[in-house]
Amino acid sequence: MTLEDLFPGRMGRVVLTRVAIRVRRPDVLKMAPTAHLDDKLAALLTDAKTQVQKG
Amino acid sequence: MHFEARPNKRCQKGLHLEYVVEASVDAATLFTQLEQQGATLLRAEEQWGPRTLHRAVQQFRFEVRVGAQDGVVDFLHRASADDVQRREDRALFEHVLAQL
Amino acid sequence: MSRQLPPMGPSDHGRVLLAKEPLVFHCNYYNYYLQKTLLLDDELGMEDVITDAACEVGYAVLRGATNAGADPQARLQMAQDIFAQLGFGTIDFSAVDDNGGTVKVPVSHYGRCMTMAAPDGTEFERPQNYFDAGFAAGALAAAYEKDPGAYAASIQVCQSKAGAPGEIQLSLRDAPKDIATACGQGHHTDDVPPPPAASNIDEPAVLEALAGLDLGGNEEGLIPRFGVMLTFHFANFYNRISFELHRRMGGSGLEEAAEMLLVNAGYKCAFHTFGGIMTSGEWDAVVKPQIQSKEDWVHGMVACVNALGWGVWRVHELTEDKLVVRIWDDYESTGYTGMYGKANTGISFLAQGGVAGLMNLVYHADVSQKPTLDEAFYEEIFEQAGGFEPRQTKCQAMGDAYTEIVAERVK
Repeated sequence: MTLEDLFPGRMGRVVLTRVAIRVRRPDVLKMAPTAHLDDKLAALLTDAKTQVQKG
Repeated sequence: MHFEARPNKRCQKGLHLEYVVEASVDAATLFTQLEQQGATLLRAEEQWGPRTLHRAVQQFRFEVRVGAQDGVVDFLHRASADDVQRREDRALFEHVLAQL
Repeated sequence: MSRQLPPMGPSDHGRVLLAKEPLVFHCNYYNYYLQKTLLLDDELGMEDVITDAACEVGYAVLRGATNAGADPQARLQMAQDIFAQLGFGTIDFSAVDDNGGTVKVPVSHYGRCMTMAAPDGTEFERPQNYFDAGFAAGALAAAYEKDPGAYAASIQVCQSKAGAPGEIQLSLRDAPKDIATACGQGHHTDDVPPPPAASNIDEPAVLEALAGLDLGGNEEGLIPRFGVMLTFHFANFYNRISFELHRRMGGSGLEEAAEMLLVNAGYKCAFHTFGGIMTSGEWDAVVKPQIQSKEDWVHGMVACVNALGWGVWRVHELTEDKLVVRIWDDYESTGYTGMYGKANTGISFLAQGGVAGLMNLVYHADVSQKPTLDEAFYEEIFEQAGGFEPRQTKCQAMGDAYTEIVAERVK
């Protein structure tokens, strides 16, 4: 899974920005969209994505 | 009068209905007919340049606006009206509109 | 509608002051996406910041009400009227006394209208009505002439989660909490240039027409207008919560990310509020007859912005690929300098989002065709190439004579 898979397009970039703040990981904003996510990071970002999409 | 109801999709998630009507609606007649069917309305007008918006509010239940758009009458539920009240109010409004 | 309000009147530059507190129009979309941004990091303590900022302005506006009288109950009635008039909903102080008590909020902008702004199916896990809680605490403290931080406010029920009327528990603290003092309208500039001659828009006529609209809270204290739910909100509330987030993000490596989201909240606001205005019957009646070119859509909307209390916007340069707006006394700059002094970086985030949003509506989304401004259309436009990105090139809070925002098409 890549960053782009989890956060596609420009809308995805906004969601990723929210996720990065939530998990306090500025480094994910510097990763290339095609960067492969290891399982641990993928799980962290997936969980945070679910959280930030709540109201 | 024949009409077609459509939700205003932009916002207010179901609170705002637009009634596309086949002929122009006289606001005073509409509001009077609603009152004759039991509504208690507060009426007001707004001037938008050359256009006049006619508003009638049944407090805490609904608002009717005539004149915002040609060929459309706007019906807005109040946020605090519950589902039963909204159904009743919409039915009342549509009944009166149909009779015009 | 007859409500007892503090002295409320126009100030210069399209501002309205309520007991010396500047008010700005904002919609439920801005309120939702701004608050969502503020609450992303659980460890920043932003719930308290939001509540305290609301307490700050609620206290200030009631203490500044020279016509409130000496009776606490009369003051609380005024607080109820303020809450409703400004579009926050209906608040009921009947079960409180100087020790505190339960405040009911049968209708709440934050309780109900955040769910309207969120995408369909959004699950709300946390309350949204921090503003209601803080306002209630500040109002009660003002009513009983206590320190602004005299009362703690605890949200018991929020309509966004429970559907039931909101409930806030106020209790007297052993020692008052420090609450900032609201800074009022802040800086004022005298020499503001007139609108550009190149425009066909008669801005004074537009402003006069807008002044004739009933933009006060309806009987349930909400302002449904232009397809959104408006609030005539406290500029210093927005400034406090936005700038405190910015400050607390310092050193995290995520400051730019936070700024991007603050700008994005402004962009969302522009899409829905500007878009709502530009596709409204009011616009068709008052502004559209003056429009003779695509550029006039921008000039017309800028004229409307100048009625929102956001400062004085002037179009300095406009092509189909670029807009330069100069703003005198943008509320973000006047608030920042009033609260923190001189800024060392641009802080007009809402203005940036607004300017980019305006250009996207006119030149990218073609708002003149009256598209349906729903979430699907927002995403479609946002994803398309050729949209506009903003940058701030001058900032009044940094000492510049005006704030300048440039929105350029990304090629």
